[in-house]
Amino acid sequence: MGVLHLDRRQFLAGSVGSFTSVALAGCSGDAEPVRVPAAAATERGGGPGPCLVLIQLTGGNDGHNTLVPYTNPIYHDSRPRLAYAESQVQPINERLAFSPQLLRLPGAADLGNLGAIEGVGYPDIDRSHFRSTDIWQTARRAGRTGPGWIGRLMEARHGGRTLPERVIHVGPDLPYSLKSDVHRPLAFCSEDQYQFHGGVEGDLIAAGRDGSHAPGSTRALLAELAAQAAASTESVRRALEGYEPRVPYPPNEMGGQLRACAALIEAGVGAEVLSLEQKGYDTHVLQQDTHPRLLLELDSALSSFLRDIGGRPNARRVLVVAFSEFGRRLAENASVGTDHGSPGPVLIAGPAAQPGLHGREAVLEELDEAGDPLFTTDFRAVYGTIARDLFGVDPEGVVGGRYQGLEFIRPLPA
Amino acid sequence: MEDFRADWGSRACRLVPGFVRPFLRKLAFAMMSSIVRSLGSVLISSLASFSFAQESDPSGPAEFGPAELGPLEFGAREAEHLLNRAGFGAAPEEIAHAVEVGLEGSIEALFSPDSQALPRFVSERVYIDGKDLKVHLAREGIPPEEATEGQLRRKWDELTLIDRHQLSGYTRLWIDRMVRGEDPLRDRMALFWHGHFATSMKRVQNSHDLIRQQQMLRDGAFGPFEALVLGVAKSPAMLEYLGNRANRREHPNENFARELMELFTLSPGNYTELDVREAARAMTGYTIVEGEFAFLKELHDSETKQVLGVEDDLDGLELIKLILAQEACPRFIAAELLRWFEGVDAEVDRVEAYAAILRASAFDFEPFLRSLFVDPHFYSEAVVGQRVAGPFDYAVGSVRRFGVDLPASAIETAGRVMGMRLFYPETVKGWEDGMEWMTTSTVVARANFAGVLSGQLPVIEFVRSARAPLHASGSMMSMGAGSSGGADEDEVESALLEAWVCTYGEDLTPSDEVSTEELLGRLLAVEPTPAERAALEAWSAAERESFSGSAQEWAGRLAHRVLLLPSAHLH
Repeated sequence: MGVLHLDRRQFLAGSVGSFTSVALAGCSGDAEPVRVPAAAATERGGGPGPCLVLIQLTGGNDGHNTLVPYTNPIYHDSRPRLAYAESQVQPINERLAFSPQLLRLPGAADLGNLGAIEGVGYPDIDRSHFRSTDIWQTARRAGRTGPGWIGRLMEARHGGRTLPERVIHVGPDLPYSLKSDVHRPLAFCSEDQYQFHGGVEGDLIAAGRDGSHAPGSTRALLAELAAQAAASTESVRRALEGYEPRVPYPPNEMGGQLRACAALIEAGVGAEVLSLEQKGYDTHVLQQDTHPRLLLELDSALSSFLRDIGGRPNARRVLVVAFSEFGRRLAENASVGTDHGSPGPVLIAGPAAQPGLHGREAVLEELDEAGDPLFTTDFRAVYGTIARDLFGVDPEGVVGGRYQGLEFIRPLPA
Repeated sequence: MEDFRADWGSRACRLVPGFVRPFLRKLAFAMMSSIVRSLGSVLISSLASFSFAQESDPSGPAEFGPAELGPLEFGAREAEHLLNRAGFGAAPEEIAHAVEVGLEGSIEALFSPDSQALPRFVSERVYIDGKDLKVHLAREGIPPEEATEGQLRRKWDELTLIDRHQLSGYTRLWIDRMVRGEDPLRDRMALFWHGHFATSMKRVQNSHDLIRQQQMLRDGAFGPFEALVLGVAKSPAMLEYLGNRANRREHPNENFARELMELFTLSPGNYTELDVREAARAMTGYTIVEGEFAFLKELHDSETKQVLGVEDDLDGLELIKLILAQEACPRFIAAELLRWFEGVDAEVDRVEAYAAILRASAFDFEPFLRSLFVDPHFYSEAVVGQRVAGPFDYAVGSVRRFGVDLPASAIETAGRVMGMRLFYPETVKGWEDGMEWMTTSTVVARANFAGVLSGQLPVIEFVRSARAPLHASGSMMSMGAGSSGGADEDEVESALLEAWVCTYGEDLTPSDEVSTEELLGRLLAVEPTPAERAALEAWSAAERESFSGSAQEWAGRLAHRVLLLPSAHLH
């Protein structure tokens, strides 16, 4: 297999580009309000609010077996035991296809709004799970300092106007993406667990919240968090208990989590970011025992979710985005698995998603020294597009630079 | 336990005071100036009668006794801090005892625990693979060749359940030990290593291997580090978890080699991607055969590798020795341990000083810990009471301070809903710490656990809601959650009442202001703020009016509220 060393600048060059209208206004430094795209402006006028459903595929999803380069002999040569045959996959075009597990459920394909952004990564990829996750979650090379990128997005959109239910993580492990000292995320695992028992009201749990703890001190943070919990257990319980989905959800973890997301959207609690995590993508060994199962769980849960929210007025601006900290090595390893690789696809879906393929074509003919394709779309361009086209805020402050805007978000009909 | 290894130094050094002397002696050879800077003025002044010129002479006499430590005060504050951080919290009586025996006595107690009375957990291999299923079925009189798919399935489900119970058994024994506090420092270190060399039941699916690895880490909790790294490299649990069992010459699997350097020994920035790939080659052939570690030469790549600037035909053992010899290794481990015990990142100078101790002692952790526990910085305002208690600090600590006898299973569940499910770390990185423990979800979980402790919430209801999946509300309600009664409830309530009567006597009255103070003192590891105290008093004044229960019941409600205060999460 030919391994070429390409000048990274060639790839970076493509990332510096527009967001013209917004970025220029944002740079002007005067008091003029930032001009926002028409779609986002309309939303502020009372239409359905934007809602990002952010799914983290933890462990490094194998992009090559998700968005399959099914006609490329390099793919088949690199993966004698793991490559999907042409007959198994679901072609998008003559080059790429969705893996056999995606769009599998009856009716899901008819929704027509599953899309993918190709070759998403960043320069000098870090192949450590943790460092790369930090980079994706903060959109900063330095990793865990300051707010996560969602935190910055919410600060850009709402300033200091907070709401306990604005950013919600459904599941046990709060991702750093949501970190913000202003717009603190709400986290819960189940509506039963998320209830105070034994006669506790919001009384003492937030003691000293009136400012008597030193600002920024641990006690002050604890009091804030407790107050947020006390303020939101009821709204979460009501949203989830009363919810009647229009389609059944699969009895897996993600099915439950996406059902909860649908319930929160329908209840109109004001959630603009709903986060969840699907773990287990670190498929170094016997990948075919796990990876198809994970994608199947994703597909089944997501299909139900899309059918459930489809047509609901509150869900018109819902965008689902599924990402992973990196893709996996093109060549399979001796354990019939794959090692940590470089770029991977970002999956998009939902009423606000523009189906089809986005981003620049990823190629297998040119690999880096580890044997991975080079990234063609900077993940910050993906974030920037979400900031600009879904939330109507200047992307520069959110992603820390200017990147070529993409077109994967459907404009709101006039 | 043997205090020091033979190569550590002459026995004479261990006379009085056992821990300071060898520590200083080794420093003479190492980073003397930086430790002097870092240890701060208090310890330095305490040793003033004993010049540093003298310390640089390893054979010099050092006749200074415990009194020399005078300037490092060891009152209730310091004693409680030591017992919080080196163990899992302490009741007022234990703190008083520690003050009585002094700093040196307290440290000695940590290193030579009174009792190892709890039996060693003996685990069994439940199964390895499909072959075992047939062996098990044969015991039931079903010949292997006649076993049906359904029978194999049933046996597999059965064994899986047994396997989980075995792991639970070990977990609960461990929790029980934390609560009893018989060997607290060892269990504290075992918890550190549990997160440092993380392996999860989720992927390993074999309790025997996980238990064996954890027993190895607990037995070797005080080092040497090399034995731990080697033990982990050969542990079937780790070989399975990071997939090194399938790492072979033709296509190396990088996973273990990467985490070995990134998380176990060096930390990022101290090796390259090339080092990872080459180290993976050195680790080829380290695998599992019949459930046990094996090195298979035919799978091993014996060609030359280039790792960390060395070019050699390294095998796994040589690789680990090479990695441990890197400057970055003691530095990383020292920083990790300092953070574990102090709760904040240590200054570079102190990391260097403690790395020097590790280097000088060949990664023996006892001198390291003995130094830390007499380090004035460890007792400084920046450290004492400043750490957000982890799930077991909060759960076990509260149980110990309260004196309630709670089933270990409830504490196990509490740990899980507070974010630390033992033997199920979410990633190989283990767990985060500090404020990372706290989310709206874990705030609720802690409040409910406090309710259990104080008799306000039946254990059964706590455990049930903790296990409730999403959207189970309907069925939960029909199961009668919220109704009173149940054996667990009675059990805890009576234990609670007993503890109360023991502590406060029968005549506790609801209006007794002292009891609020005592409660605060007993249940909190830190001093509450005036605002918290005022909030508690306001609540108490408003509630007492309408409260008609017994004194003990009132105290239970009050205790619940104390454990909800922001300060209850600090230690």
